[in-house]
Amino acid sequence: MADCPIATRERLLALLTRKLPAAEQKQLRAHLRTPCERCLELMEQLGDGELAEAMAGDRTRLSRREANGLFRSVLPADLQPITFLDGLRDLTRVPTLLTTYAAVLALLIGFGTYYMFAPPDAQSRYTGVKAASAPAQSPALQASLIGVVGKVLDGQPDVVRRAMDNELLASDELLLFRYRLSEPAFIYLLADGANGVEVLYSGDAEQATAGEHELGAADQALALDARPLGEDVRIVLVAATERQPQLAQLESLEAVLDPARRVDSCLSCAVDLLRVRTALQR
Amino acid sequence: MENEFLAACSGDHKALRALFDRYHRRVMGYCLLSTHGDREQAMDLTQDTFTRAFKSLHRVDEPEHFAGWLFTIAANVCHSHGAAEQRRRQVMSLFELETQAAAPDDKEMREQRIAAVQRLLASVDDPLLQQIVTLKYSEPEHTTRQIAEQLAIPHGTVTVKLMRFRAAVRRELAWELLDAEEV
Repeated sequence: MADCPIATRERLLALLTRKLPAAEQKQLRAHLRTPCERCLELMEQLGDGELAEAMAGDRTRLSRREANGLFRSVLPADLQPITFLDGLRDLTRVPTLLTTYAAVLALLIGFGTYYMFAPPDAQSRYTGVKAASAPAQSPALQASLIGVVGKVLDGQPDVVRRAMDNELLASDELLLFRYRLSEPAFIYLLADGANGVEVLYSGDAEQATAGEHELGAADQALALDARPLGEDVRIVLVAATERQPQLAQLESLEAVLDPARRVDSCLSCAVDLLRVRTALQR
Repeated sequence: MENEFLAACSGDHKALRALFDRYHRRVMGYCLLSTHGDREQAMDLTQDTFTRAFKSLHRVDEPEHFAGWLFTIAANVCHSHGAAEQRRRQVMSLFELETQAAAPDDKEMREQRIAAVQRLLASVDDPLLQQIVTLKYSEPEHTTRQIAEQLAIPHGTVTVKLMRFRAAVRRELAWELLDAEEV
């Protein structure tokens, strides 16, 4: 059966979104009240809910950030990329554990141990863990991101190893973080994966103190299951002496990785980058 | 679609995202109808709908029933959010028929739905279609297979006739949406 000459899909959707010329609106509205079989053919081809979507028009359109945020918020708890794990005490043992391992397996993790306990000046020369593309930092504020690979065993987080740059994470492995600041700063953790840039952690509430700390909140360690973020994920720590609300709207990590593209309030931000790869998503 | 749905049921992140991307604007459209176009509220209702849906995906018996099941959740979420005024409820009941959402628990909404079906049936000349629609939307609602058995006709005939009825619902809905001038 040929299409209805009056009610085409395009005209119908234009009518619903008020984009049809006034003269045609009257004709089409009147036609919808007639028993036109060819109209029914057209209506059969529309998808469920398509009319309401068309009627609501652009208000149903979400920005990528809104869609990412909404999608993440509706995932069941066990599929959330970010969780907060109890048992921070276990994680604060990381340096101790690594030191112990280093004593036994110095050849394997000697670099990591050296990095974690070396003075800041020496750290900047270390390139085994950090991404080679990490930009230069302001001399006033320095920040380092340290990834720690962990697993949840019997409900408790357990440290497996230090995360190297471009580390391939197994399907049951989580990423935990430590950071080191040369002076108090607001800190943010961003990820850039298949869904674009996401804020994993925002420390807007209060400045973190100088020194080395676990990344988390309320005595719980932030644990990241990186697989939902994609197969290649860039994770960036941003430390700033001022709050950086614009990071929540960031479209590209380059806007912080490239000092020339930063906003004025972030010119002195310290940034550190860690890249990880993930096994197939579940 | 079927493989994607099964993958989503097993927690596959990409498959869940694909389902979300395919339906969230339609669910938003429905929620916008129920909230007088309040986008923030509609986003909250959309969030609630998908949260409930993803939590119990395993309850969907057939992948092709997912859309109707999702809109059933959206309808329940929106109904519990607040009673819309009479005019809007009429439009929403048509919308629920169009998306194959199951009949709502709310008695008033069920009556609204039955009234909408009867109004549409009044303009249907095909006696077989009238029988099928009556069985489909009477209480308790019959499945298409039950209707086929009861009327001793092929299952395909039932589904084809119901597609035609839903097309009529869509045409009515399009007219009502324009007439309501509310969204």
